[in-house]
Amino acid sequence: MIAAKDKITPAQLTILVIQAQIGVSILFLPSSVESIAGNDAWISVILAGITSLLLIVIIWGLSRRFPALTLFEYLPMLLGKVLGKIVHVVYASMFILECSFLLVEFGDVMRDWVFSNTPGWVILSLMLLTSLYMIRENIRLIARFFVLTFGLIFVLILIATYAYRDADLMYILPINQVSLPGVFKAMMQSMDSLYGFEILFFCYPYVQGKSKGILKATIFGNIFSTLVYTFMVFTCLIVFSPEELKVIPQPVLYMVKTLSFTIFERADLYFLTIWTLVVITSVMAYLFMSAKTVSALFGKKQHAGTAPYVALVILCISLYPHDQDMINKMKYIVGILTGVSLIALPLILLCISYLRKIKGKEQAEA
Amino acid sequence: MGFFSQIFSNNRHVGKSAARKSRVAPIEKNVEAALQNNISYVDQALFHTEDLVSRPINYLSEQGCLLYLNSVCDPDKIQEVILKPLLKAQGVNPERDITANLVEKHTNLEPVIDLMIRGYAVLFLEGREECYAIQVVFLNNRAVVEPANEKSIQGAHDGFIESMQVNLQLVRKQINSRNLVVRQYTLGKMTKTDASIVYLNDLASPELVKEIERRITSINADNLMNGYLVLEYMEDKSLSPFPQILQTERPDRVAGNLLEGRVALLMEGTPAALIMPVSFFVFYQSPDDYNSRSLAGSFIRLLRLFSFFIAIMLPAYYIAVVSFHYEVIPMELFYQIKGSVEKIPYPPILEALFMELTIELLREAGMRLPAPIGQSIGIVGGLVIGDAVVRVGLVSYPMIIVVALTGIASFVVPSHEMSYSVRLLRFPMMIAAALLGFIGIVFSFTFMMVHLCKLESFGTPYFAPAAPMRLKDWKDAVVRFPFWKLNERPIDPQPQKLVQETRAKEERGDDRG
Repeated sequence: MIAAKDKITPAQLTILVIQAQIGVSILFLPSSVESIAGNDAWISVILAGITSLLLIVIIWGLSRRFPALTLFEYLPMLLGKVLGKIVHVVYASMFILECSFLLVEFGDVMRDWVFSNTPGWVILSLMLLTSLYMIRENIRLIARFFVLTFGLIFVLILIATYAYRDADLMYILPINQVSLPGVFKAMMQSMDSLYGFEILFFCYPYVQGKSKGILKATIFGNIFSTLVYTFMVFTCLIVFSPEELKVIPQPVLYMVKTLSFTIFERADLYFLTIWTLVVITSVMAYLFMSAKTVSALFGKKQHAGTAPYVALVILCISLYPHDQDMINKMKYIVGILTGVSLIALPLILLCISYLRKIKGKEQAEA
Repeated sequence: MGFFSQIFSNNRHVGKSAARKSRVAPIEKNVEAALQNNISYVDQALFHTEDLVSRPINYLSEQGCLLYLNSVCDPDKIQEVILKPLLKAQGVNPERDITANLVEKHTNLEPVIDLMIRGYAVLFLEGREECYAIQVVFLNNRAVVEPANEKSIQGAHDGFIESMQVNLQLVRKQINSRNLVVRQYTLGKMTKTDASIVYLNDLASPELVKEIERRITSINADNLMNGYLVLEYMEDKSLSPFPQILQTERPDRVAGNLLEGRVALLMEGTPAALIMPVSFFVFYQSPDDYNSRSLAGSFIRLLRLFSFFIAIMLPAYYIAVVSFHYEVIPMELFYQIKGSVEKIPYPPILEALFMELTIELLREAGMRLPAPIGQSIGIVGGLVIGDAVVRVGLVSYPMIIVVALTGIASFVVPSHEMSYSVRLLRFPMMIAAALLGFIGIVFSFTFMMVHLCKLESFGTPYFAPAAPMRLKDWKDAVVRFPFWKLNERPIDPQPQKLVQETRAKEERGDDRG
């Protein structure tokens, strides 16, 4: 049973989900989606948001049947010991790889935009150290920090809004220029940015209130992040011409770079600074999930002891790829792993739970 | 590990061992009938200390002796309340005849000796197996004046002094409620200092009071002379840069905090009250905010909170800009700054450290010197060094501006303790900025924020109402809304009653807005 003082409110859950979802890809998403779906990219992002809603419902449906347990406590109940451990390992590697990939992309941006000569491990290990300092605590304190830094996302939006000065709505016309398969392919691409809602697996038992409220909170968070992503993609689409978008990897930064305010220049540096904080919260979320998963794998109740080792592994993995080719390979692996463990596995687990009628004990409602 | 945990546990043993030690049976020594035996016992118990005075005295037909320590007793009072009344005495009971306000009859000598140290005179009478302890303590209180480091422009001008009794009276004068409770303790195995916690019985949460009581009683140390020592034993994290207990010398500030359900600790010899638990924002509230109108109060408070960011971030920001991100400076300003910075042979971090340390030196020197010289040190240091250092080419002009602004901003905090933490915190920020520019600032800032989120003061969140976020409480933490809008107390000290007023303005009847 979880004590009332360890619980978080549904509003905190919403922000946890948003902060886990919005991270590095706010910079990458526009160009990566545009390269597939052209000026219909924004539709793909919205479609991806709808898809992730479905996935949230699946995860929620699964968690609802075990209201007092986290994923790794009921995995053996559903799959048996051996298979449960295997799936557990899949999840652990997925979280660790996803966190590493986040860091790889972050390190890339830092190298390209701010510190071209600073070795990557310096910045990445600082990032992990800062995150480590936070995630050794329980979910409640983490939620407090996420709420505190939530406002910064609006600052990012505000800076980007300034770019509407140079916008031209004609760029997104005609709608449905690319074929439907292209839009769907781009949707799969943008799904990568919307992962993060899986934090529900870890939070569910800790949230106050009824399960419907939890679903609502998560869905609200997901809708918010989808809108932010769509806004960013849409802004980039109407600010840059399709030809320009093909050659620039981080269009958002190029977009804010040209903005000039009278009291300061180079808004992209401020944008990057705030974006770093937004990325830190994502890294925290993923590091937390990785640490929780790994510590559960070794049968430990507390994750604080395992967290430094997990961070070390993540650091090593994230320093490994050193060219675009390897990064793409890594992206491919991460894509498969997340697809398996966030789309296929929850669905299978839900089916097993319903078919074999395995259910956790009802949590006594206060 | 045991060694380290002992170091870091702040001597804060959990009750048991302390209690066990103090449970050594007290020595019993009954008052004897023979006068001389009693006198020599006291004399020996005090190791023939030479401020012990024994004055022979007659009580009607009985022979007696008055014993006291002349260093702590008031000779006028002895004359007035003991000697004169005894001369005119008629009855047989000295307790009745002596006119002092505190007279205790004792049959055991040991507690009497402890009382003597605290300013009691003891009367022994030949043939009686009892003695009388009479309070004649020499009170040498300074006047109740405005505290020098917490001045207010509008509002009360009284401040705490070194006497706990006077301080308690000052607090009681503010809150005439029967719910105001005083609990007394004696702290320090050697110093035996009086301390008392004050709280409102119907407001302060019982768990909080219990926790504070537990922490006070489980300190096991010889020297607990004053509140500043006790503070460190009681804090949650002594190594955190942020103070978790508020010290204040103002009775109105104490009263205001008591009314929010917090607890104050007063100690003999300490001209300040320690208020716990406090949140970060309490350090940025000053009674002045409440004594001026709400718009002005809000403006000043926002300015103060803003000054927190200036004080810790401005030098770091400047260093980052000059050494990494000079692109962010607008073109017209760029040439000005470039012209000034270019001639300096040292990296900006050294410039900044040099200037910041100079300012700290000046401050410290000005504080230690008597007031008139202190001021001239400020002028000599500020003007002469500031000007010469630029002419010589050690420091650039913009850096002087930055350092001066930072210095001013760090003195705005209405609490001395928080001012220290702000001044300390900017050094790690500056180093981070010198190493990694904006990104370094972000990392160190995040570190600080995480620390603030994790910190707790007596089980209550330290960074409330920002984390956990409760926008309702921002009305009195970040700005100051009009009083009739502040219907609820802040939630972080977990008061028993949240509502502090209901429909305060509507009932006035004449309001239309």
